[in-house]
Amino acid sequence: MKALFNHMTWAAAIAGLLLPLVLKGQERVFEISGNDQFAYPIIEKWIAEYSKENPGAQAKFVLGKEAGKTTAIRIVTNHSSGQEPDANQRVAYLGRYALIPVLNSNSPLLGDAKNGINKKDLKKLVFERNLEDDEALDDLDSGKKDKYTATVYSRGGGASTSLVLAGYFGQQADQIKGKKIIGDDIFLLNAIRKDVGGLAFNSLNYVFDLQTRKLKADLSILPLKLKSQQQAALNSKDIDQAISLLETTSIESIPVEQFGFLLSGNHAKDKELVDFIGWILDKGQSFNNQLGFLKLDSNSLAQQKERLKDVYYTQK
Amino acid sequence: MTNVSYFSGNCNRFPGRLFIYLILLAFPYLSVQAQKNLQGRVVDDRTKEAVLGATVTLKDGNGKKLRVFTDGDGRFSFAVGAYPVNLLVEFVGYKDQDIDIYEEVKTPLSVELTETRNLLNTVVVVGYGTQKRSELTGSIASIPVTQLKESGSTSFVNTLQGLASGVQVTQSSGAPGGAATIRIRGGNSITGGNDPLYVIDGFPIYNNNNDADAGALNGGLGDAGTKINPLSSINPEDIESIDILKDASSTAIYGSRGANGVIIITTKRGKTGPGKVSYSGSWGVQQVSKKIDLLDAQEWAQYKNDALTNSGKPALYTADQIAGLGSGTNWQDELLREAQVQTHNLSITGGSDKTKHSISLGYLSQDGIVIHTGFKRYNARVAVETKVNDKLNVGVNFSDSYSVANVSPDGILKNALFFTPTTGVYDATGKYTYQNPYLTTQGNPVAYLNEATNISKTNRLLANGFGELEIVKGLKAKVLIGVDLIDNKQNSYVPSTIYEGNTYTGLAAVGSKRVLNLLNENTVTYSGKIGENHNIELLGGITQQQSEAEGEVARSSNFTYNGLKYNDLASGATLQTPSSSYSKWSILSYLGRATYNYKQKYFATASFRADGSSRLGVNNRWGYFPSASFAWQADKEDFLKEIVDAARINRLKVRVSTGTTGSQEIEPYKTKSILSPYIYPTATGTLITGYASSQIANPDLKWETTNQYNAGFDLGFFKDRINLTFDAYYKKTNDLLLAVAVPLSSGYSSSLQNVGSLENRGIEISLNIENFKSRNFSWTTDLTYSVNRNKVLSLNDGTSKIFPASELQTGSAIIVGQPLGTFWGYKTDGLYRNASEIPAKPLIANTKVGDVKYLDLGGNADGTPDGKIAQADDQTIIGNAQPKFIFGFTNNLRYKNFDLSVFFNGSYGNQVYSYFLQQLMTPTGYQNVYGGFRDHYTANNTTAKYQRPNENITTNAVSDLYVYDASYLRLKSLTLGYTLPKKLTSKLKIDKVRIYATGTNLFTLTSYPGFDPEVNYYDSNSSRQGVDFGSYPNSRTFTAGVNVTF
Repeated sequence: MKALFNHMTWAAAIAGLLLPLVLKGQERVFEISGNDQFAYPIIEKWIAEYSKENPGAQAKFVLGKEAGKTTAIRIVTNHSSGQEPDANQRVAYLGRYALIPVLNSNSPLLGDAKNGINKKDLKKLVFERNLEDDEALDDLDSGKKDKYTATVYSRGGGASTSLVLAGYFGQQADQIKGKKIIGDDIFLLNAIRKDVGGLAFNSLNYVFDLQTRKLKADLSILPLKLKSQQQAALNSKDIDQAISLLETTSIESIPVEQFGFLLSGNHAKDKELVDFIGWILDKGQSFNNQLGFLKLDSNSLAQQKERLKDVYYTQK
Repeated sequence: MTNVSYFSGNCNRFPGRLFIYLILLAFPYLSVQAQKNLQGRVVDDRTKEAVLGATVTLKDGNGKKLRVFTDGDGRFSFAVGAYPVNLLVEFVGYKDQDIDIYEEVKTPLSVELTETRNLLNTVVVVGYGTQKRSELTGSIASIPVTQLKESGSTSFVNTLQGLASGVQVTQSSGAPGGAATIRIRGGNSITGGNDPLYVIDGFPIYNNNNDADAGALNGGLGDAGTKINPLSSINPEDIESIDILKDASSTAIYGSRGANGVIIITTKRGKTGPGKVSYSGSWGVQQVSKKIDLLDAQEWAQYKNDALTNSGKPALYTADQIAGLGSGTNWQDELLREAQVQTHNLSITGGSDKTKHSISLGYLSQDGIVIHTGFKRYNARVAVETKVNDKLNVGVNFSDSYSVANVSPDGILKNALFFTPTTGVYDATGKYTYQNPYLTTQGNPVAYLNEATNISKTNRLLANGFGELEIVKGLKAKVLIGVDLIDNKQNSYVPSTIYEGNTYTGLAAVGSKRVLNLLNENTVTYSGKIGENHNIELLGGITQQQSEAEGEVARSSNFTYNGLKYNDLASGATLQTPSSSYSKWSILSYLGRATYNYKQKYFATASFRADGSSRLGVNNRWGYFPSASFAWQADKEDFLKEIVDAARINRLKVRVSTGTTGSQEIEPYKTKSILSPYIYPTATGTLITGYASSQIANPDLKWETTNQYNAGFDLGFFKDRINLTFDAYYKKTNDLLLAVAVPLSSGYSSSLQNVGSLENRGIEISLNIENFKSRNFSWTTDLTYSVNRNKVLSLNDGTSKIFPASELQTGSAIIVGQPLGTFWGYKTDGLYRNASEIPAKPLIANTKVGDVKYLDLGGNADGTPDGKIAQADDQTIIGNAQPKFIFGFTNNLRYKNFDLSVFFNGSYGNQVYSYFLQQLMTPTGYQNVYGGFRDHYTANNTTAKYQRPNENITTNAVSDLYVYDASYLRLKSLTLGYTLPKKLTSKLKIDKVRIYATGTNLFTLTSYPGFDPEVNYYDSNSSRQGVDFGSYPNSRTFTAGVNVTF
């Protein structure tokens, strides 16, 4: 008896060890990777919620956080300034994010710019002078001094958010003034916390506390020259008011960019993947705001759903 | 029940074994935390090439710093304990990159550096190649080309003064196109040449002012006139860069011609990009910068009376006559004028990845401040370079200039000063006054300038073509063929209506000279790496150069009709003796150079050149010239890091070099025995030509060799806001070429031999400071300071002094233990004011009270004064032309669109022997004199400064009376410019418009009473430096100009 018990214990242990392998052999794993960690929370949320709703799904989606790893599904966060996909690649856009300018809450710029900075002045503040630009020449010729000064922090190494920021203002990423950091976007906030004169653009989900829904301590949003209602929404330091504003209105000086998945090879036609993407475009959108992201606008959403039908979807 | 062997026996062992198995299974997952390794690569952001030797400093969270240097592939690596860390990447000539790293980077970090584009990061042209300034081991100065272009000078040579330490530039003549003398670190030779070698677009040229002088001008005056500087054919607008090589390690690659330094000039090349059309023009006015104080008519008449009465003759003018003279004729004003100068230049540059081109046209018209003199020049240049394929580049450069100069005798202005002010330019009949009524050997200078014709036309073609083939990666072969052709034609006519031509009844001369230089250079270069950190470059080559000069002059006189001038020599009744000449020399060379650097921290260069020259004796035709240099980038050493950081030093390079260079600058055929023609009359009066030996052969004649040692350092403070370069050098020249006296019984008076030695030692300092820089205002200062001490160490055996022929009139002497440019003459001590002071045998017979007191310094066997003033005993050293130091000081300011450049230069401690003033102070009363002579000795003015006039004085001895302190401080140039706003110019589709105004030679602070303290009549002759012959003076110029880029 005792021996039988031992055998059964061993059998159970071995089975327990082997079961995932057995099951693994029957389920497909889609690994998603990307360098822009600020997008990880929403993707993890989608994966988790999709899995909850589809427990029997034959596909498993995994977010791979190993930097530099190339997978068939890549997170893309620079739609407008990124490279065009190759012939055998497809891009599925799944949401939007906003880069909001933030300062140290003791920054002197808060006082200097209390009436709000317009886009033109913000461009001069953030970027090196481009002498091909008539605007810059005007100032150079007239000897106008810079109205505002700050130490701009941005990500180096060709980071997407820097490319997006530069593209929004019609510049190149290497024209961003100030200091570069290497590391995730969250560390930009570390930098401006250390430097009272610092300024950085960052994603809403990093700038706001997602639990309290309020702007993180020690940070302030750079005053922008906006309509009073718009200004009030930002001044509220409330992420939901900010999201609500940004989803419905194009706000000058705040870049809003689409993000999604770059699909390579045959994955574009994988049913499991197509279903997952379809779910994101449908129910998944409801989680965007919760995690500090914007939903796709209605036109883009419709377009993405249509593409899903025409391009990806091969089976009913 | 089956016992499973694994589990048989003691069941108590099972948990232990399982535990071990689980540990083994889990082992891969219990990963030892991977060491955090931060790796990266530093590249140039433009070319994406690796930057080796960049300083990378890692600072951790505790402030601890680690420093490494990038390897041969620009890579670096740190082991990092914890993040965040800060990374600072620095390299000379690039903006720093300061990066905070917050998390581990799994892929190598790429750090791109952007060039700061300051002067220190530029590429410098060295012999047979280029090098980055940061990699230099020798002493090389680069000239700010913009500054010299806006000076309005016809020749870039004249504008080099004060812009580089160790380089002394003296203008020999202020005439348009006139010559200047350059000395780099002092003169090395007594009879040989002292000019540096010029390398223009790779073509070595020794600038000889005789090359553009056929010798046909200003006949009848014994004054050949202003020599036109052949380098004035080069349009300063066409120059892209000028680099001056000063020490042996940089000049030895030029071997036999590098002893006096090398000036490398590169003309503009095309650049990749859309074509650019540029125009620059300037208009200006010149005036003499200083006039000499002279007596006017009334003063001179009184002076003449005193000269006559002091010589026992009756006075010439009564008091009423003197009163009626007024101020008389100011001959200086009659000869001098305000003169115009204008330049126009048009250039087109452009290119693609394959082909680059640069085309330019230029025009200069410069009237001289002396009437009827001037210089016109037309330039055309084409440079094309094309990439035939990935491996082959070819290119051609053609530069042609045509200049026409109206030349005056060099001493004509001086002669005009002698002309008595009581005499007008025209006589009572309205014709030109024929001659000085009191000095009948002197003609009317205004008449000469207006009526005589002296034209010198020079065409110069400088062309080369090259092909460069990359045989394998890093190995290139280059072949260059070049030609330099100078063609000079001179026409002269002196009409019979003026004094100078009257003796000949008209004198016509035509002459031409052609100098053809051919060059072929074949070089192979290899650049590569050994391992990660060892970088080498090798150069080997064979070059050959040949020069041929031929000329002829024909003269004719006795013309019935002046109108044909020089155009029909046959119509002159008397044919003067024609002359022709031919000479040729060639040089064959083998050269090699190796450059090595280790991690951009330790640099070494070695070069070797063997030259064989036809100019030298057959037994010593070949000379061998090695050099070596070493440099240490000390700021990269860890053990110096604290000191370097504390002192805010960002760059510290220490250099030492040594080498041997040579000089082959003697006339061709000097080693040969020469037969010269002599014309003898026979008993019947027929003239026949015979030949006799006039020069002893010396087959052992060899190079003058100069051994040089240089040590220096380059310092950069506060990220190159302050740059300091210091050099100390010692040069010894042996085997000097000297004419040694030989026994007259040999039939010769002298023989050219290699004897004697001299040395130059000195220090040079260059300081560049960026005083202030913001977007709207910047201010930089450049300072150069040079000290050179020259000394003759030895002459031929038994000789301690040499007085070069005909130097007695100017007192130049070469003395062992003294520097070159020593003056030798009598010492004086004011005037004799008491008859008892006059020695028994004075220098000048009938010396009286009021005459110059010459000092009796010796004559007795024991050296005590002997009561006689005699040349052998009483002449001594009375001065020297060598300055204690020379300097230049430039301030460049910019405020918004305005720019201002102020440049001072000067010299301190040098003296001038003014033969010009010696003549102007001849107290005979036959000529006008220096204005100071108002205060001359008379019975009523016994405390006067100057001696009594006396018609009987037959000599005006060489003495310290005419040695003057020629120290000066000059505002050499002041330029104010304004660049039109881009907003305005872009509407007109113009890229850039800049207008400017420049003044040159605006004022000079000096105590020298002559025209200009900067004089050097004898051009390149070192032993006769510092002599003022009253040459064509320098002018003060006001110019306005515009530069337009379309």
